[in-house]
Amino acid sequence: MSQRNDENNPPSTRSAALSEQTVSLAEDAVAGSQVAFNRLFDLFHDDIFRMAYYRTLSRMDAEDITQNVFIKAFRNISRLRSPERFKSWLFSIALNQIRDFYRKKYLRTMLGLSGKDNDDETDYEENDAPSPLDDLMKKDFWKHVGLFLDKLPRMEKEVFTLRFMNHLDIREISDILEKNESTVKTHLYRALGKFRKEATMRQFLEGTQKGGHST
Amino acid sequence: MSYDKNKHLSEDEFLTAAIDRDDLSAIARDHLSECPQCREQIENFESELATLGRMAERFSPRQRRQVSLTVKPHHAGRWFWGLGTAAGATAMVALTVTLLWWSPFSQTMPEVLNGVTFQETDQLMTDIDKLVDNPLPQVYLYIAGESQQKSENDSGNAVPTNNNITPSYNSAMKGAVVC
Repeated sequence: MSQRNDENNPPSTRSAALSEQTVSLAEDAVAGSQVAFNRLFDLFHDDIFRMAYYRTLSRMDAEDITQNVFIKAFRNISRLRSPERFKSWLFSIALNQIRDFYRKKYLRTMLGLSGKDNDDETDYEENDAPSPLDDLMKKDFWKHVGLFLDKLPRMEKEVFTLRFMNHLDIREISDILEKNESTVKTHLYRALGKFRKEATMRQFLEGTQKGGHST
Repeated sequence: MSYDKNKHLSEDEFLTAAIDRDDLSAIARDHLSECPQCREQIENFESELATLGRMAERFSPRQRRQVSLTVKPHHAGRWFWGLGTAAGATAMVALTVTLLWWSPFSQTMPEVLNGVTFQETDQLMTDIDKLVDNPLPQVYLYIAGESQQKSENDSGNAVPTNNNITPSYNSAMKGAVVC
């Protein structure tokens, strides 16, 4: 049903064929095939990394979280009852790992055990940016995104990020957050209403589109 | 209630359409299909959101560290190895106890070592006799120039004489003369 809004689906490789492949691999992985699990890892580790990165803005932390997610998934894959929901299941593990990450970080801060703060580590390494202009755009982009997302309540922020940055559909978000679809849509509705009013960010995105810097 | 076709989509309908067009009322859906202005606005809005997603992906760093699935051994295996280690340790302890129990230094099994015990008692008596008769060890008696008197109570064990003292031992003593 959600495929009716194909315009909302990003131009990515998440086609119906890929979904079928995922289900097939998940079934094999549940049955015990490590080869199938490795293939699933290849398909999703970038998505999980980005999901973690969007919420931590730290490459190192995102890598740690990604590793923990797949280790946990590997250990528990045999318990997955619905292989067709593998993607949602994997993302829900990721979300829990991110929550754990922040919980531990909060505890460390409270106990005065936090070491070097990685908040300033934006991983803007020169190797990642092909040009200084690109590097500048990258910093600008994350600054605008951060300012906008900070205005949103937690659930609206999560739904908006999962939908438009992690490219998940309403059903998948509903599974991950364990909320019904109408609740997810309600949060999304409110978040989009605020996004519509975010003139600065929209101008930035529009300018990027017209300037041809988008991919 | 008739829908005014000149009236474009409301903000509410606009956002609903951006989320899921199936949730639009039939009238709004019909308007959208017939109104290029509303359609263009929604498509532009959706395009902005798609750009947001693309840029987020593009401006994310690449993973540097290769993720490795280092999974800890299964609990059943760990349990098995733990049991094996415990069994081995127990066996070692038992072996050690057994060796100590059977060692010559142990004198707690007279029913088995009776013969040896009696011999040891005899030797002890002989030693005591020797102490009484010859308070000094033989080698010292020899050094002192005293002769060796063979004890009458000797059970038969040869009382060590000077001759029994090996030359090497004797020569090691200061002033000793090898016969």
